[in-house]
Amino acid sequence: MNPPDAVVPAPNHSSSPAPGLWRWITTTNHKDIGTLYILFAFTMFLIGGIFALFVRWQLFSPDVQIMDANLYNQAITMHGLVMIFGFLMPVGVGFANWNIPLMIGAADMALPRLNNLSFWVLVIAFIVLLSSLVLSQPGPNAGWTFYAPLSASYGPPSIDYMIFAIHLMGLSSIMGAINIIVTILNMRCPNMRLRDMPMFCWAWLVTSFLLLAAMPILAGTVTMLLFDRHFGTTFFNAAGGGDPLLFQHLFWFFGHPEVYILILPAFGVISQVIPIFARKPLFGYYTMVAALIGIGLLSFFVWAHHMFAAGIATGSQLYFMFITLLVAVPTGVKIFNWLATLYKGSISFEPPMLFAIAFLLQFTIGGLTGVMLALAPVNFQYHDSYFVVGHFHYVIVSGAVFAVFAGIYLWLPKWTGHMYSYRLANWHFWLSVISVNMTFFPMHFLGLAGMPRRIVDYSLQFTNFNMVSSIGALIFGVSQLLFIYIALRSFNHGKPASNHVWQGSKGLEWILSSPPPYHSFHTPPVFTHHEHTSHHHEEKLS
Amino acid sequence: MKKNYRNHKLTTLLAATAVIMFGVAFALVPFFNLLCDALDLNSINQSRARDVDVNPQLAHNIDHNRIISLRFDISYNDDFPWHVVATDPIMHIKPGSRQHTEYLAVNHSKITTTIRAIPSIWPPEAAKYLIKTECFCFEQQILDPYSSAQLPIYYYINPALPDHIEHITLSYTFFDISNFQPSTPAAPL
Repeated sequence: MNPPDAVVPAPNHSSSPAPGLWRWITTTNHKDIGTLYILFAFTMFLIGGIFALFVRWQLFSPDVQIMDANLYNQAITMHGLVMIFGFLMPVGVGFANWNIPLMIGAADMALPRLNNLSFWVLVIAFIVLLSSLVLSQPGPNAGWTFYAPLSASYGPPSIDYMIFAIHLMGLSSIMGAINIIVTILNMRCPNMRLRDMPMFCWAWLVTSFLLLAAMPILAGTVTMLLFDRHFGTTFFNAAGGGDPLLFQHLFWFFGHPEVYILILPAFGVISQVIPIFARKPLFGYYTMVAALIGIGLLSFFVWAHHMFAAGIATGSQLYFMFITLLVAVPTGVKIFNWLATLYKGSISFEPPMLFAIAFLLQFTIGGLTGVMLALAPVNFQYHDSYFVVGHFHYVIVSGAVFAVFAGIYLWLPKWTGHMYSYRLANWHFWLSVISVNMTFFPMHFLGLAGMPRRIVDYSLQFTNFNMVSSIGALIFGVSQLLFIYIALRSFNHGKPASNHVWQGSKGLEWILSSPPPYHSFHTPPVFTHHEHTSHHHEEKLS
Repeated sequence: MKKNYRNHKLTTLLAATAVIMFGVAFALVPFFNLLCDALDLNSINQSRARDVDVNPQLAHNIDHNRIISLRFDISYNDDFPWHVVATDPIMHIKPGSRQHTEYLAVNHSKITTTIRAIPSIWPPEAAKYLIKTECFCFEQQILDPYSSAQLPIYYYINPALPDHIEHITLSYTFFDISNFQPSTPAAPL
């Protein structure tokens, strides 16, 4: 069994939460707020998914015309905004809220009331954004990247709703990031040095710094956009001395760290899952930390690889190509270390591990197409084609989203106290893996064959692959309903889960009961650190 | 230190960082200009040659030992209301000698239109050595329906042009800015 790393404090009162709906509005409890974030995120996942299904329906074949171009542009814009800002980022913060205090032996987050505010500000943000579709048609239709001058000179009034919503989302993320940094730096239990922290916490520490530095840049950019739209400035207008390219530079200066904000927490989850189901400590703790920090730092220096075709100078293109290739190196280190963790491990394939292994394969594919895109000369062919769409969906969907599934399947028994059905989870896994590849792999070929992105219709020769992709998307969408069922059912049904849940689990969160008490670690646990060496002490059977 | 105080201190520091990064977004604008000047990026669409380390007297001396081929290129999209053609698509000239060429433009639409031409020079290093003393590209051009104009360029190539450059292309992209009147005049590029 697990050698006791810490002692569970004698249970004092487990004071119960306030009754009724008011509890959820005023809670400052990290478990409640984590639950709120995750439920919100999956609601947004379904909404974003519906937008996606409309897009794929329209693109099923050239003669399908279920919406006009303007409505289609709104669908792709909202799909991107909702999935990135409404699903991936909140679900990550939900995981962080639930897990970080448990993993570091803290009673709660450092700033519990700020935590509550961060969540509800996000809800308001999405009420504003989604209501713009109804209250102010046409809704935001300039893509999730809403370049100027399209958004500035030609954007409908709903762009202002979008700008306001982005300000609120940014505020929520920044406050959440501050909370996480302060919690991790200040609230670790005695004896837990930074280098004793689980990798999940390290991933969130680096991600939070990225959020802190990048989100305000987006806030500045959309403020400039708002001013250009309404207050007579010409930041992005060449006629007034500004430059449309400024928008792209500013947006991607935020935008590139943003995509690492999406993937680093996923890396953190995978680093928790694989050691548990390989029954082996994570290989290369310090190089994993160094890789996280390296990726985080480098992410600020590569932004213009989104702009190779925008007319930037040749010298710039060369620089950004080399530096982008460089950031693939620490990413490769992480993949290697996960594989090395599996090597000579005693592996079992419960649902979390299934998704983690799928992540390794699929994220690597997405990473490789990313390296292809980084090559500036060939980027001119890939740019704004479906090749790019294929690339980022591989890293985001079969990368980050699969890691989310792995994390849910890993921690759901801990959070709810019930085991879910492995049989159903396996169905969800295989349907998801097969359909995700069906949806996004053909996009690489479509892009190479010349299909542009962000178009409402396409030339006849692209039909067959688009059909395959749309059918895959439908299957993927329906499979996620199965996932929702599995997850919701485990709230109240299923075999009771033990404290440690999984045979290979290590760490403070697994010594608490499942579910843990409403207030846990009121008294800090006793934590003894051990060195991260590759030759670990032999596990003694107790 | 009490944990609360430590938390408050760190929170304030981090919140200040967020506020500063907001300011950084605005500060990036002049910062980019400084950096691009220092690294000599984006010189290809500079309309006026910038200062070069060369004796201004010598700039007028004709270098008889070199011939540079200068190609004049034109781009505009399908909706563009004018037809534009270069009188001399390629000129072979000696650095230092004063030259003159023209673009012929015809407005084949029914409305008066205002046009702006944005230059681009290849290779980028040649940009500062191609000195235009007078160019239609310095200002907007306006043409009435069905009228035409000769758009002049008076220029010379600074003899200090690096030796390895033998061919230069001067390309103009034409934009219809009729519906787009700025409240303040555009800054020179």
